[in-house]
Amino acid sequence: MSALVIDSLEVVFGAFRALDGLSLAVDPGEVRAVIGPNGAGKTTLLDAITGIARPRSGRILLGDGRDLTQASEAEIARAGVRRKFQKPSVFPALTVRENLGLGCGPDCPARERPVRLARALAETGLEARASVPAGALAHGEKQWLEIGMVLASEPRVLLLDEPVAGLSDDETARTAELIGALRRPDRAILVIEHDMAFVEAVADRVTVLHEGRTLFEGAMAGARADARVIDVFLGR
Amino acid sequence: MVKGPGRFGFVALLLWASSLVMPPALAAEATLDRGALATALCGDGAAQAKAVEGVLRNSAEATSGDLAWAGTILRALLDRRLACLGESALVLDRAGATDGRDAATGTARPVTGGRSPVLGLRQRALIETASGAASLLTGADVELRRAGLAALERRIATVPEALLLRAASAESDPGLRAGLAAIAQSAALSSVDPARRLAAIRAVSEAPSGAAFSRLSALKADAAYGSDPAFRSALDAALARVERAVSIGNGLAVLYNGLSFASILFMAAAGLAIIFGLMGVINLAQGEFIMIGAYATYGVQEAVRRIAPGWLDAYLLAAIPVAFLTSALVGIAIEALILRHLYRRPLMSLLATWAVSLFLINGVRVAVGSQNLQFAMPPYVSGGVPLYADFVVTWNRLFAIAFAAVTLVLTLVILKRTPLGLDIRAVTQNRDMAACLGIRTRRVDRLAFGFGSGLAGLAGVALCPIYSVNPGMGANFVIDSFMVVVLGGVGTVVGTLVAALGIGGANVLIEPLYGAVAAKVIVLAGIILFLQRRPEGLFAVRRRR
Repeated sequence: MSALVIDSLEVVFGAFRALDGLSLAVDPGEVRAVIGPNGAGKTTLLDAITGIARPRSGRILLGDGRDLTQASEAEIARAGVRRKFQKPSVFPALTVRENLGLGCGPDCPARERPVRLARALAETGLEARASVPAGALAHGEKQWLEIGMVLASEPRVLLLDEPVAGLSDDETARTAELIGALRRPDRAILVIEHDMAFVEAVADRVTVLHEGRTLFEGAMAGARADARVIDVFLGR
Repeated sequence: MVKGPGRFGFVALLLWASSLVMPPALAAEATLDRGALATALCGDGAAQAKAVEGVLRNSAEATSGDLAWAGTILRALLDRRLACLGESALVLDRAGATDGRDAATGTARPVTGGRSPVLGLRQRALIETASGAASLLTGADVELRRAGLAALERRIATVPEALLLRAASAESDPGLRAGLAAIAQSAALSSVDPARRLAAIRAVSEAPSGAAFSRLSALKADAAYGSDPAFRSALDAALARVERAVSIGNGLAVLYNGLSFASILFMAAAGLAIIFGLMGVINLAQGEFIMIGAYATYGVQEAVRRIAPGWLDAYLLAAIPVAFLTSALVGIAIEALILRHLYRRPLMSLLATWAVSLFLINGVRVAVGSQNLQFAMPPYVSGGVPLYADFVVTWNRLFAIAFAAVTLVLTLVILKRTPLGLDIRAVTQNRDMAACLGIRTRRVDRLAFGFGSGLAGLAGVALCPIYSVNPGMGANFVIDSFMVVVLGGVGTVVGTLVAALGIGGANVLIEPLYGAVAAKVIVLAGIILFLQRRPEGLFAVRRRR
């Protein structure tokens, strides 16, 4: 049984079809990478899952059969689908600890909150920076903080939008380690990324998008060998 | 010379000096001819005046028994309870009684055929002073002696110094002793002995006040000011000292008033800043939430008066939660009924809140009336402590300041330490992202609106003991509150606090110089200039819209 099922999803902006009958299924415990050239519809896919973009047709089902296309952003978040945005979206005037507290979400029991906060701080390695306003963090730390915020809510589906964009090689390696540590049997992780080495390091399978459709799905090694994928990426 | 003696020390000094001047033998008690006095009082105006002046002159040496007796007969004369029968005078228990006791012998006799002596204005004043002297020296309780002193004060020039010294040495009540010292001091100021005068001038300048300044200035007209250089330099130094102290005291008083005004502004503006920062709603009805808080306070006062009159003094404290909840509930109702439909349309919500404000003002006007409400003043908000020169720390303003300080702390705790506060700050910074994190932003809006309105209600409680309360009172505060929010920066409590102190202080500082209207104009112009430089205000939270 899949943790997240996208079924013939179609998202249209005016005359532009951002997603054109896309289908894909992510299993629990899996780390799935979605790659593709600019404009392939990667971010639109995450927008549709989190309720920011409304699909014209198609369904987005959670493991329990719940259809997210009808739910509000807040309901989707409370259902356990959490997203880390491409641009670090933290609350700059709030401290790291407060940001993580917000990440826990409104449904987090008060007793469990400190436990989750401590765990998120430990997993992201930000313990020493807990009382610093998020605006004062380095770019890489902001990325980890946002992953920590998503983590604090104990999500069932974790959506990561370009988590290593603009990071140094060291930071990229640490982020890959962090994502490896987030893998849990009851959690599906969907990563959007351009960095192929990073994708290879973290993902079980990759889905290659092109013009709103699935071009390839399978292991990274297979994607590297696939003629159509090479065509799309090299623009031949 | 004794250094820094203060008032009591000064009195002690006078007593010591007087013991040198008046050897014990002179203080030997003179006896009063009671019969002669009674006869004189029944005589013509000249005889009355002469006899009473004699009583006053000898009051420092007379025995207590004689003084008490003279007091009784003089009071009887003042109250028209004295009847004259030939050579003797009868004291009646009440005016118009048929029996009285002979003033000199104390035997009871019928009044038939007696007449009440008539008092001229001069005689009446003299008798009041003499009877006051008797009360001051022989009165059984403090109130009597205080009344006697008050009577003496009215004609202090005619009171012999020795009388005041005798009273001061016998007095046990500290308040009355201080009053005596002050009077002895002013008597010493016009004393003929130059050394005593200089000591008195120094002592007056030890306790500077506006009254002390005018008392000392009056001495400039004295002949000694021109002729005696020591007197002149001592007086000039004392005047300079008192003047500086008085201007410092007045400056403190202005700052204090500014601080209390700023406290109320802060409470109104903090709610406004939270609401505007969170929802972008410019709430023109904030002033009316203050008014509702004040009316809720009045309601609590009336309820306490009816249910438990003994607890009336506690009504201001009981009103705190009531006013907060009332204003908060009205705010939440307005949010749910009207503003919810107008988010992201700032102009519409501005007009809607203006309509709400008019509705609330006129609703209260119809329901309660447009007169100023009368508030009982519990002891903790009436009176004050004189702190320095003419600067008095009045309890009502201190109440407002302390109230605002507590409100500031609670607001900060709620915003910084509670989940609701965290949600409010998150939604203020980035509404969409907060929604993505699962925060119920609409619920946060409603609670924050209630909280902001409740803060205005608290301002209403705090201003009850200071400002007048009527349906239109909110208009006095809402404009200043907005200036505070704009100046301080949207959505920051600290900015609101600093701006409230600045605007409140500026208003109060400029008002005595150029008038209230000019103060508002100058402050407004200053804010406009400031905003040209820093459009986001003093302390702005970085945020995305």
